[in-house]
Amino acid sequence: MTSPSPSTGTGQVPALQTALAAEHAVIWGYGVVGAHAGEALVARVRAADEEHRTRRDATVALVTRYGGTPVPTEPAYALPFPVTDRASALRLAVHLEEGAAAAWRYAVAATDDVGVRRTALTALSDAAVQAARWRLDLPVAPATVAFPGD
Amino acid sequence: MVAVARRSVLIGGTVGAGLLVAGCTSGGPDASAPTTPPPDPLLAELADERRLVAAYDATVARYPALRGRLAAVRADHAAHAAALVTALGPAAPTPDATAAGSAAPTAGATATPAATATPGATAVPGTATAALAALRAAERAAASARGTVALTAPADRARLLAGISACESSHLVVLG
Repeated sequence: MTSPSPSTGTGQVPALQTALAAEHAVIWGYGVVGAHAGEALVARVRAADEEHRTRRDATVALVTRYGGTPVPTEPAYALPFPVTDRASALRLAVHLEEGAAAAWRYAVAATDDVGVRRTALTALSDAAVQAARWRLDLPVAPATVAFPGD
Repeated sequence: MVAVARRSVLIGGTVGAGLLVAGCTSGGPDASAPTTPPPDPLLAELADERRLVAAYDATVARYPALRGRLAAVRADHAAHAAALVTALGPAAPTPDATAAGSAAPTAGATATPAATATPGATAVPGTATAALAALRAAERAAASARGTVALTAPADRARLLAGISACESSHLVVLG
């Protein structure tokens, strides 16, 4: 087996590991979101969670292909604020997507591999889109930010 | 008469070719074009961000009820343009009076179909629904363009362009 593409850059594995660690945290966080967001949002929380699980699995595979050992998930993470109801659950969901956006935006700049950059850009865009959806649900204005991941 | 003469020269053989060569070499700056560095790729992205700002201004001028929904999106594009100017540094064009900067008051003062049909102004579709669809299409194209440039840009520019691209994708949530 050869590596998937010529690794002209040096940042692929560290950048992807940072993003993978973020995805682990996001998936843990969506468990908390789902417990408090309320029945009406259950399906959408599950869909967002599923999207991140798919992305996590793809990132694990990518790290492995580039010769790294994928970082494991932590047993638990610290919440940025207490989550007790629908509003705080949605705020956490926004926070999680902003974290994912930051990690993937870092990954874009940390590698010069076009394929990895494309993967990171897609993940960054998806996180920005999902964050905007949760902001509309809260609702909080504006629903978008000029530079997701800043 | 001149047009006829040119046409005959182009069709003709040796004489025409000689004139064409003369025309090229007498161009001075144009003649050295092949050795001139290509324009900074961020210039096209900046021009497009300014066009987007103008498109939002024209849309809000025609459909004031959309202002609340579109104001923040317009502000995002203005922030993108400002960031691109910073990234361009000395290569950035000076603020253009015909660009987005002056579009808001002008469009607001002359919010008529005739004004939006002025050459060079942003054409706004005839219904609010169609106007939103046009903005969605523009956002998709912008996200794609910025994203494509980001793939091969230096790291700092890639970070900037990727952020702009992602923001533009998220605008579809607001415009949907």
